[in-house]
Amino acid sequence: VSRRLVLLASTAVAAVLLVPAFNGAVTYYQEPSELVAAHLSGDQVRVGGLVVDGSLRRDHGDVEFELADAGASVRVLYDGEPTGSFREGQGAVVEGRYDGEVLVATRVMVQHSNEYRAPTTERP
Amino acid sequence: MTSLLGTVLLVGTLACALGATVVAATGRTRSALLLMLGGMGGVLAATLLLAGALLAPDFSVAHVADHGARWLTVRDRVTTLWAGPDGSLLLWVTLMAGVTAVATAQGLRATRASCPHPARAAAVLAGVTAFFAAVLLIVANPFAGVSPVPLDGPGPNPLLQGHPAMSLHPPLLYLGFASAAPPFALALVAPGGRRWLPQALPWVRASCVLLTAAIVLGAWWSWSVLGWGGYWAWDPVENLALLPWLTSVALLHEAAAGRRPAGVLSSALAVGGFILVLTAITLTRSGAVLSVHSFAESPQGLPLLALLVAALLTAAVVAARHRGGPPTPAVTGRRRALVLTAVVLATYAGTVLLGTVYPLALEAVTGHRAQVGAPYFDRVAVPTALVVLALLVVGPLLGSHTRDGLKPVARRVAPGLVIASLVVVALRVAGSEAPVLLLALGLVTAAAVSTAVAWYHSRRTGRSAGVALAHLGVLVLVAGVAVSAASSSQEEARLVEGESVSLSGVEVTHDGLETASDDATMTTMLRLDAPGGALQPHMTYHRARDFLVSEPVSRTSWRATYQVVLLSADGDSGEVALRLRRDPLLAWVWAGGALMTLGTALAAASRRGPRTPRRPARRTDVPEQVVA
Repeated sequence: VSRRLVLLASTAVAAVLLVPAFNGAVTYYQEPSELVAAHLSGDQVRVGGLVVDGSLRRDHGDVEFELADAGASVRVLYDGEPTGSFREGQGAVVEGRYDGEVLVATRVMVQHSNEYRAPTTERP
Repeated sequence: MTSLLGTVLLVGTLACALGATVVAATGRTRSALLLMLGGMGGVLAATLLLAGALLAPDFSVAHVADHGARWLTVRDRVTTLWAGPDGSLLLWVTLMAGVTAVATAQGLRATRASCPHPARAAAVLAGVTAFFAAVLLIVANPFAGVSPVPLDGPGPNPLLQGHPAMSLHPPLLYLGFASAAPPFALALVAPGGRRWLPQALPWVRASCVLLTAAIVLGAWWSWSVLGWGGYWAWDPVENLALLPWLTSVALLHEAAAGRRPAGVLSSALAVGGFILVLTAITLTRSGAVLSVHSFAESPQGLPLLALLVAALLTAAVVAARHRGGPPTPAVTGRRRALVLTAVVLATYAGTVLLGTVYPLALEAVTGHRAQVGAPYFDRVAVPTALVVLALLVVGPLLGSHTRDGLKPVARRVAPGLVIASLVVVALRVAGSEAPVLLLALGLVTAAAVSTAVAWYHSRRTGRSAGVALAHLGVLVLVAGVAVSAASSSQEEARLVEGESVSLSGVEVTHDGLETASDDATMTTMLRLDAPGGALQPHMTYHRARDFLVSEPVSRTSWRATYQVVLLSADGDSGEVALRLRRDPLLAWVWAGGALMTLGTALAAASRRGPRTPRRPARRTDVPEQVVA
C-alpha cells in the first residue's frame, strides 16, 4: 500500500510541476464575434471566419484584412504572405494575439468555404 | 451487386467474430481460431472487393462515390481505400482480424506456463474485433448503396493524393496499432505474476518497428506535402500516434531488464498501450480533435467512445482485483538503467497525453475550445530528451549484475565524455552558442561512443547490432531535430520574371511561369533557377473539390535541406510570391528514423543469440542473460 501511495504522491507532484509548462501554450478557438465579446485579450487565439470582400490590403510585405462571421468582424494584421488559395470571400483560420482591437497573426491558414466550418460547431 | 456482396461479407465477418468471442469465452480456443479465420477471410475478401471497386471504378458503392474518381492513377485508386473514414475502418478491421487469428493460433501452441489462459485472451481479441466489425457494418459501411449512381467521383482529399508515404503510412500505422492488442489481451487475462511477457514480446517488437516506420513516414509526408515548413506540429493526431510508440518502447526496455515475474509496470504498459490506441482511434474518428486530419470526422465517435470506456473500466477492475503476485525483483546496473528508461518514457507519455486531452477537459469545464501548442510540448520534450541521452551515455556501459562502484563506471564513460567535450568546444569555436543545443550535441556524441563501445563488448549478435543501430538512429534523429529546430530560417519574397533574390542564403531566379491543364486539375508552375539545378514549385487547382494545393519542392544534402513553396502566382504579370525555408541537418531526421526502424526490425527478427549453457533450474528464476 505504501508503494502505491508513493506512486500516487509522485504523480501528483509531477502534475503540479507540469502546470507552468502550459503557460502561453494554450490557443483558444474563437469566432470573430466571440473574440470581440470575450475577454481573452493577450491570449493566443485561433479564429475562423470569412475574409471580408474588399477588405484585403497589401503593404510592404504585410497583409491586412477583415475576418468576419455573422455577428462581428476583426481586423487582422499579418507580416507575410498567406499560402495558396487565400482570397477575399473565402474561409480562413488565423492564429495570433488579439489586443482588443487588432488580431496580430502569427499564422494564416486557408480553409475553403465548402469545407469550412467554424470550430465551435464541430462538437461530435 | 458489389454493394450487396460487400455488405454480406461484412455481416459474415461480424457473425464469425461474435461467434469466436462466445466460443473462446467458453474455453474452446481451437473452434474460436477456426471462426476467426473465417472472419479474417470474410473481411479480407471485403477489402479486396472494395479495392476492385475503386480500381474499376464502380460508383454504385458509397466509398467509391465519395472518394474515388476515374482520373486517379492506379496507385492513388488503391490508396483511396483508406483515404476516408469508412474505408480506413475496413482496413483496421481487416488488420485486427488478422492479428486476432495469429495471436489465437499462437496461444494454442504456447505452453501452459507462458500462456495460462489462451482462450480468455482470444476472447478479448475476438470481442474487440467484433465490436469494430459491428461499427463498420452499422455506422460506417463503405459498401452502402448509392442511387443514382454518379458518373464520376471527387477523388480523395487532394493532400492525400500522389505521395508515396500515403501508400505506406496508414497500413503501417494501423498494423502497429493492431499489434498492440495481443499484449493488452495477454496482460489483462493474466495480470501481475504470470509469465505472459515472453508471449507478448514479439507483438511489442512488431508494434515498435511498425509504429517507428509509420510515424517517420507521416512526418515526412507532413513536411513534403503540407509545405508549412515543419515535420512535427504536436498536432493531436500526431501525439496520439506517438503515445503507443512510447509505451511499446518503454515495454521493450522493461522487458530487456529481464525482471521475472513481470511486474506491474509491464502490465500497465501493455494494457495502457492498447488503451492509448483505442484513445487515438476514438479521438481522431470522432473529430474531437481539430486538426489537419479532419477527414476522420464521422458518426463513429460515440460507439468508439463506449469501447474506450469499457476497456478503461475493465483494466481498472482487473487492476483493483489484482492482489499483488510475487514481488518483482530489484535489479542493479544496466538492468536498473533499462527500468529507469522505461519509467522515463512512460512518464513522458503521460505528459504528452495530458497536453493532448487537456483541451477536451477544458472544454468540458469552461466551454472554451482550445488547443495546447508546441511551447508546452517542447518544454517537456527537451528535458526528457536530455535525460534519455544521459541514460544512453551511461546505461550501455553499466555491468549487468554486480552493483558497480562509481569508479569503474566513470572510467568507462570517460573516453566518450572527453570526445564529447572536444566536439562541444569545436562547435563553440565554430559559432554555436545555445547552451541547451551544445549540451544535447555533447550528450549525443558521448552516447554514440557508449553505443559503439557497448556493441563492441557485446556478443555481437543480430540483436545487439540491431539495438546499437536503433540507438544510433535515435542519436542521429535527435541531432537532426535539435540542430534544425535551433537554426532553421525562412524568408519570403515577391519576384517578377528574370528577377533574382537571395533567401536564407540561397540564390534563386524567377525563370518563367507556366500553366498546364487537364480534366481534373489546373497547374501553375514556376521555373526557378537555384543552386544545383532548376526547381519547379507549383500550385495545383483540383476542380472536383474546388481546392488549391501548393506543392513544395526541396533540395537535400546531408548538411542542409531547403524547401521552396509557391505562395501565389499572377498568371498575367508573372509575379510570384514564394517562401524558402532552410533547415540544417534535416536529412538527419529522416536518416535517424530509417536507422531506428532498421535497427528495431533487425533486433526483433534476430534470435536471442548463443544460449548460455543450461543450468539446473533454481527457485529464484532470474535469467542469466540480459537482452540489451
